[in-house]
Amino acid sequence: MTAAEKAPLLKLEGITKTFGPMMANDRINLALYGGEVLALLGENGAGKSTLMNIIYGIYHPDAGRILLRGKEVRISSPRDALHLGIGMVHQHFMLIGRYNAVENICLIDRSRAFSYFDKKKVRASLEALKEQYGIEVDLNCPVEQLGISMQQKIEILKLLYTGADILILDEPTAVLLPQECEALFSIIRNMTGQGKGVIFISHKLDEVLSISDRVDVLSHGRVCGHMKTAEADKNQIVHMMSGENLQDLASFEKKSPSREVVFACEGVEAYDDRRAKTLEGVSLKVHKGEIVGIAGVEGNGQNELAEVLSGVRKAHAGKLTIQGTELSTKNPESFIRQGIGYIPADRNTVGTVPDFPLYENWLLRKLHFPGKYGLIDQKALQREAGRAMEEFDVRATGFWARSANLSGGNLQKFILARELRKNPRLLICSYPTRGLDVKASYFVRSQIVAAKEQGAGVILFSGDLEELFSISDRIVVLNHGQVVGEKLPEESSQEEIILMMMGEKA
Amino acid sequence: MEGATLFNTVFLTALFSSGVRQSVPLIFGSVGDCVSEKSGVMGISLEGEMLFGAFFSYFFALQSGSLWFGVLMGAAAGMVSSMLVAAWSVWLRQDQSIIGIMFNIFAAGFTNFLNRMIFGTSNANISIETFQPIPLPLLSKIPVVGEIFFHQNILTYLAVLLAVLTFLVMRKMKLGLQIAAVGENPKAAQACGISVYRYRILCYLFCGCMAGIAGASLTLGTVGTFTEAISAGRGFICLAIVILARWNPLIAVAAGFGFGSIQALQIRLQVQGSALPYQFFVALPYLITVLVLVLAGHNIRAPRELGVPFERESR
Repeated sequence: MTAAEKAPLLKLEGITKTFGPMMANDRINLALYGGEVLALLGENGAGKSTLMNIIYGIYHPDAGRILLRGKEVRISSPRDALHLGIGMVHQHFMLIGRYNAVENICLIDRSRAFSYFDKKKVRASLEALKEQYGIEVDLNCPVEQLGISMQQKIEILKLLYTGADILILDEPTAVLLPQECEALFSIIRNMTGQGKGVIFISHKLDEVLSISDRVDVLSHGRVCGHMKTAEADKNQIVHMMSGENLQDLASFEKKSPSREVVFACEGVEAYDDRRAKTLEGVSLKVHKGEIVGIAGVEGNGQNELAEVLSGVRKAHAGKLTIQGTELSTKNPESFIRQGIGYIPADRNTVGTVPDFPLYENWLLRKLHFPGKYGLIDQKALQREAGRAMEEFDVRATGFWARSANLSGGNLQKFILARELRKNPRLLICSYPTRGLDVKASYFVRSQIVAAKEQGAGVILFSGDLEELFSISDRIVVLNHGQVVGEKLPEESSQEEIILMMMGEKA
Repeated sequence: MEGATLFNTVFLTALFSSGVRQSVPLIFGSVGDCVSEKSGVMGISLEGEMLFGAFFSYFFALQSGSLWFGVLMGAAAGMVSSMLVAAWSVWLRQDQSIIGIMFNIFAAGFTNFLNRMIFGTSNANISIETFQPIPLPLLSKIPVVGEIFFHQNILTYLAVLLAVLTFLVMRKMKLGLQIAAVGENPKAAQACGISVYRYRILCYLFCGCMAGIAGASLTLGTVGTFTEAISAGRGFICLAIVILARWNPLIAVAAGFGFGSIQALQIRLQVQGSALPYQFFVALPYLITVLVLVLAGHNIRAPRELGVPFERESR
């Protein structure tokens, strides 16, 4: 019994949605059957999230029909969607930070507003669901104190609690470690086993191939291909998504760095936001034209190290020198003055101010601006930003677009342009390709490599080992705020690095 | 010595009994604002709505001869006037502080205008008989405490009752959970199928209704007439009370009683006759409000999206 022989659970016909002049969805047709995982692939900004938000009733389509089990339905709000049995895990979780899991999930159930909030009953049914689907979460702790993978499990539990049989997972693995992904997949398999239909959105091809039954590819707001996963191959999918070949997007030439030390830090110690000591004496050297990759399990001091080295966080102890001159850690300005570029992990709120237009964001982390007598020459500033955006292929409606409205890939290119235009001596990149699609990731990596070839030293923090191996000249492993070892990528393997990340000394 | 006679039981009983009376409008107002702020909308316009409630409750009570009809109309006036603010700040997503302040200025002028148009410029408005104290059976027999708390008019009991009911709804019912969710993270609330606009507007109307009753409790509960700017900043003290009470209606009752007592003390100090000009005593409660907020106002976590307009299809 194959899925295709049954009637579809959900069918979309000719869904169209525009945002101003931008066509986000263009006459999209799609079908989802019970008991299958349909993977939806596409570059950033291809229209996947828009389409899912339409199914979930957050956006309203300009044209098109939605059929549920053969009957046409109108979904004008998430409330309607939930009543029809459609549930969604959003890319950015929809949880109330102060509430615990029980309270969060209670919000979504169908009991009346003027009814006693029966914690015990909800908790009991959640315990049963946990058992049934093998989900391990803490129901009592406020969710803001839980890790991201835990929060995601609560989101999934929430969907199961509503009894939804159409489940939309919008990039659920973007925030997970490899082991956590496996746990998620087994939950998904449990759900399809119960006859539920799952729409799975991801950028990571390997995952898509291992979990899905069918694949639909979106490009520029249109469906440009569908296939059975069994018959699909990676190259074909990448070509459909971006019109490029996979091989061209994965290989980099490596030029060996010079002997000259451009940046060094010694015995750096620092505290995190909760005042716990997370860096315990880190020493590091970066040569001219070298990419130093930093590997480590999330939470072992990478974020703090990136912030200390870029001047954002004060070091408690230690010495930083750039080409022999000691850096004053008093204020971040001196770091910028000394030519240290920084690409923060959080591009949406640290890298840019979401409500500023792009040309105003262009001014951030800049010591000089065009203009006279302390007045900003807006025109020149806009020209400058516009030119760089063209050069770095930042796709937006213009330099006046609010940065909040850019997709992740385009925003990251914009930040990269801003830092690289200053020809930094040292570039600190913190998770630069997290959440980006294959093509945008390639672009970002190639720009980092180009900066290195022009003589900059680069420190690259990344959770993606393939990325670390493909572009870094040296990989340094961090564990519990200490450097536990250092390897050359051509003399090591991913397995060895993972063992070091777990704390085994090399 | 004057000081020796000042703080005897008779004086204290009278003082705190007056404190309870003074606290009634503060309790109505702050309980209303607790709910509205929990949903993410600041009740800056509380002061103006209180004025509308005070004027119309007096006007209708005078016309109809029924105090209860007056209270009802006061509540309605508060609610109708809050509709304007709600539409502006929730629906049209304008800045809540600015709208609130503009509305307060408008309300002060407009109620003055109505007052003079209807009752003329003479300061001696026609007084009406206010709500009389109702001693509660048994409880009012307790020495001192009975006299202070259980020998009050019906609006006082109503204020406490509404505070307790509001507390129960906010803590024990799903509605309360939903309202707080709207103020914490409206996007997530929306994803849970809650209509953010509807909840915010209804909460704000509730706040306006309570502000209207607060105004009525001034004219029909204590003063017996309407005078210009009768609310005298009580709406703003309510906002301070809500912060001090950490958005908990029951603590708001206690805080309201505290501020009411300071007000009562201030009036007595004025009458005592002292070298200080009387304006000093009038300013005292507000000075204390500021001081208390500075001293006790740390470590407070407001609803996360308080005062931030919500856009439905935002990205």
